[in-house]
Formats: sequence, structure tokens, C-alpha cells
Amino acid sequence: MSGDGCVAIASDTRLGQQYQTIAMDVPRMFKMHDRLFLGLTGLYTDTQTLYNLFKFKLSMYKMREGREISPETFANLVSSTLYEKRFGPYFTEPIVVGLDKDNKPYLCGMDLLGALACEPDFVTLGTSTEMLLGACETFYRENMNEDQLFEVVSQTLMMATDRDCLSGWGGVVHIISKEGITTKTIKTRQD
Amino acid sequence: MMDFGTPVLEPGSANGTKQVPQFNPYQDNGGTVASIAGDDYVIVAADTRFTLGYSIPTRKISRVLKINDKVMLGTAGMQADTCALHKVISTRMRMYEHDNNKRMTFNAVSQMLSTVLYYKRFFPYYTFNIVAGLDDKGEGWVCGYDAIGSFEQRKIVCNGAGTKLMQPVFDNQVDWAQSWDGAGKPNLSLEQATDLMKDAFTSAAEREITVGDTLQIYKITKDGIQLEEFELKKD
Amino acid sequence: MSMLDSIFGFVGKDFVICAADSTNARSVVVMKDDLDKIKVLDDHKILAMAGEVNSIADLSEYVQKNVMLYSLRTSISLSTAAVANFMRGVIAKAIRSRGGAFQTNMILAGYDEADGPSVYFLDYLGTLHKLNYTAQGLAPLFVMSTMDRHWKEGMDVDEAIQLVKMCISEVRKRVLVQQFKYTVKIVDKDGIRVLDVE
Repeated sequence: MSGDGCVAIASDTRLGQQYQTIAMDVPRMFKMHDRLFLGLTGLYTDTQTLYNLFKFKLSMYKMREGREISPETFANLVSSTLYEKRFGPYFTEPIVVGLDKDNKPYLCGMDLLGALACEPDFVTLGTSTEMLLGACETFYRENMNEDQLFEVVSQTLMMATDRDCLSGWGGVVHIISKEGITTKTIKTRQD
Repeated sequence: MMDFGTPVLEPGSANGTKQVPQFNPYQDNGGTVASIAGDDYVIVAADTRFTLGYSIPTRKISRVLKINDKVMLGTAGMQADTCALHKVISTRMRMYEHDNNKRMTFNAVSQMLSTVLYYKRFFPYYTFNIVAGLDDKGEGWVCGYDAIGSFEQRKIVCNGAGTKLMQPVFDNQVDWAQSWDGAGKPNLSLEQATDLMKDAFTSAAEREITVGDTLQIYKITKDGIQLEEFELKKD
Repeated sequence: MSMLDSIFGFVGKDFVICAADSTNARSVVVMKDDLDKIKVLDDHKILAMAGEVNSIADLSEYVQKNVMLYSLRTSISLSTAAVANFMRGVIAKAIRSRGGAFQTNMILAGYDEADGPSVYFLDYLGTLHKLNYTAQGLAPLFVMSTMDRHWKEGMDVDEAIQLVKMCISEVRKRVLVQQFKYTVKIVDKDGIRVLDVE
């Protein structure tokens, strides 16, 4: 979700195989650089494969260009990487979130084939995407500051995951602003 | 528009000679109903959009049935089954009043709906109901049902297409479900509940194609039932 | 993929312990009841595997040889984390390959001088996660709750053996397939030992 000169990304931390919970502290959002986060939902093995792949691609980019990648360029990179596997896709749906060089928030969600959907306000993906959508739609306001943004994002995450048996077991919120990244862990219902 | 579903192969048609189309008796006409109950009021809200696939045959259907001055029934799902169900319920309500010489109470209506739905256990009404009303003491309650009559009495219920989008919002704002210790739980007034309902439906109308057009909000209090209509997005 | 094995493992104070049943069954017939499902990767790493026998043989041998090759080439042994990530890459590549996925879920456990003991959950798709305790095969259905309740930080060897015994008795009581004998291995700074838990 975007705010005024800041942007937040949040996810739950449950890893499950259908109804069995395997782990409760699994990271789904990865810091690509100081102003860019990649969130990956879906099949966890593909999440890990893609994270490693993008870490490598970004290192190469940084080495060649001598600067960090911008969020928009990275989103397009993610999209083309996913589309390369059009007929045997990665089963993950990524969210790219970051601040561009003018500190304007950039938010983008994709489906598993890489269809970009850039939104100015918020993007939701995962098993409880509809619940998140309804909650975000109701509580989102334009130009929230960091504290308000954190409140809204953490409350919506908790609301939606409370109604989804496949999500939960704690949440993590990262807020990116020009001052830096703040990370907070939320204690949700432990089930 | 009749929905014939996918063709079913008859036995002995392995060489592909005969294919019999099967008639699908159900349709999903979309819509959402929701209700919030307070200490001395209940509000029932339903959108008025009738969808069929991606088309909108009409923007103005009523999903709510007034049973009596204290109880209302809201139904989402298939409109034909809704009409049939409403007819059955209002007939049975009149019979009750003739037989017993008194109005049906909220508890009586909720139990009756459950049995009526369960009578059709093996060919159900494709309907998602809520019964909302004031009980004998004047306190507001709502019952939410599934298609075959299983119900639970609560203070807030949503049913229908927009449930997934709206239920978490109600959990948070009415039940105060995400607060650490429950302190500061609000006792919503009629106006606050109505505003919350409008907000929730507006959000649902943004993201759910079958929700939109107009929102009919019925407010049941000891003074009777008032209707407020609120415009939602028409796209 | 029929998974009739039970394996579980957890971290102790300065050791890791892994247990696996020794039964190899095919539909209603018990082919072998002294099969060692805990493969040794090098002096301080073990890999407990559940699933198809051919995948187990393939994958464990491939990893064993590569770990050995690395230590021969560079005269440094790989850390447990490095082996875990290497295996994950191999498995994730295999799922979309012509040969097909390795039909095996596993637990990688090891002890490093620098990082201490660690246990990794690794499934047949390549999902890798470092955990304090985990189980694969039939065991998670029964043993995860026991470990949730009784595992604690910094267990010593005796407490660990108690927990292993509890888990084994739980599986024996509740699993339809007979799983009488268990192999239990422990890895600490001195290397790998086989424990006799019965």
C-alpha cells in the first residue's frame, strides 16, 4: 500500500502444505535494495528459486550499470522473467514495491505469467486476496504518513488472514521511506 | 437464458454418436446482503443488481422481504429460488398468524426458515439468507444461513458474493476482533452502523462485479421499518 | 507419491538428532525392515530421506559425491547451509526437467563449528526452510504436536533421546503401517554416531 512519500509491504509468515503447517516464520518479502522490495506468494520452492534468480540479476545489473535498479524497471524485469516460462510457469504471483528516485511510491502486482497491474493505491495477492481487497478498499486513504500507513496495513493484514485458514501465524510489515526501511513483526492469531 | 451446462456422454457413445446436453437448474445472479444488529436496532442492507454472467438484466431488484414490523429476510444467490422461497415464507407466515393469532417472533422465523430450507435438502434453494429482527426484548439479532438451512445467531452477518470482501471489515469495526485486549470496543449507534454499511458496500462494489447499482438499507427499530436508498457505482 | 516412511529430526544444545523408520514396504508387503534411510553426506552432515527408493539413491549419491568433490578441490568442507542450498537448487531444477522430480522429502541435519547445529526441511519441490524441529513422510501427522509440546531450546542428549522415544511411540501407536525398527543418528562436533534408542 502506498502513502505520502512512503510505501509498505506486508505478508503472513505461515508455510503450509494444504492444511498442515510446516513453519511459522517463513519470509516472503525480500529486500532487493534499500528502496525496493519483492514479495512472492504461491509455491514456496518457486519463491526461493525466483528470489535467488533476481538477486543474481540485480547483482549483475548493479555491476554493469553502477547504480541500483529502479522499481519500474525491476517490475518489468520480473514480468519478462515470468513470461519466459509462459508454457511451464513459475507458480508464484509477485508484488514489486518501491520508491523511485523522486520518492514517489511504486506498486505493482502480477499474475503468474507476468501480467503487470500497476496501482497507485494498493495491491493484494495470495490466498486471501479478496478479503484483503475488501479491507484495503475500505480503509485506504490517500497521502497517509508512515504511522497511519503502518496501522492500516497491519490491521488489513490481520483482518484478512483471520478469515483465511491457509494464512496466519504472524505477520511482517516493511515500510520504505526516504529515511530508510522500518520492519515490524505483528503478532496475529496463532492458528 | 437457459444454461445447458457441458454435454454429458451417454453410455455406449464411445464412438461419439450421441451427446445429450444436460440442463443446469441453477444460476448465480450475484448480489450481497448484510446486516448489523445493535442493542435496539437492526439494519439490513442489500444491493439491487441482478447479474447473469457478465450481463445485467436489471439494476432494480429487491432482495429483502418484509415479514412483519420486526423481522426481515434478505436473500442473495439465485433470483428464481429467492422468489420461490420468499413466497413460501410469506405464505407460512400468514398461516402462522391465522393459526396462532399472533405475529411471528424473530426466533420463530429463524427456525422456520431453517426447516423450510432443509425440506429441500436434496435439491436445495440456491439462496444465501439472512434473517434480521428485534427479539421479544427489543434487542437486535441476525441469523446467517447456508443454502440448506444451517444457521447461527449473531450480531453481524454478510452473505452472498461480496462476503469475502466485507466480512473482515465488519469483524474489525464491529467485533473489534483485531484488538489486543478488546478495550475500547465500540457500541455502534444506528447512524454509525449505517455509515459502516455504506462504506463496506462501496468498497465491495469497487472490486466485485456483481455488487453495485443501488443499496437498499432497511432500518428496523421499535418504531418500525425505514428504508434508505444509497447509490453505489453503476459500472 | 506414496510416502510410507516416518522421519523426524531436531536440534539440541550442540548436536542434531535424526530418526527414521527402517521399513521398506511395497503395497502390502514388507520388503526390508533394516533399511538405513539416514544417509551420511560427510563427517558432520546427515540426510534423512522419505519417499521413492530410486530417487533416494539417486539424489543422496549425487549430493554425497559433490560434497566430497568440493572438499577435495578446495580442502574446505561445505557448511550445512551451503549443502542445503545446493540441494535445493538441484531439486528445483529437476522438477521442471525431462527426467522428472526427485520423489523424496528429506531432512538435512548437520553440525558446523561456526554455526552450530542446524536442521533443514527440504521437500520434493525444493522448498527449503531452516527449523528447530521437523518431520517428513507419515510422521508429521503425529509427531509435530509432540515436538511442539516437548521440544525446548538447548536440550541435552538425554532429554533429546526422551523426545525421540516419545515420538517413536506415538508413531508406533497410530500409524497403520508397521514401523517397528528405527535408525537414530546423532551429529555433534565429534561426528556422527548411531544411537540405540530401544
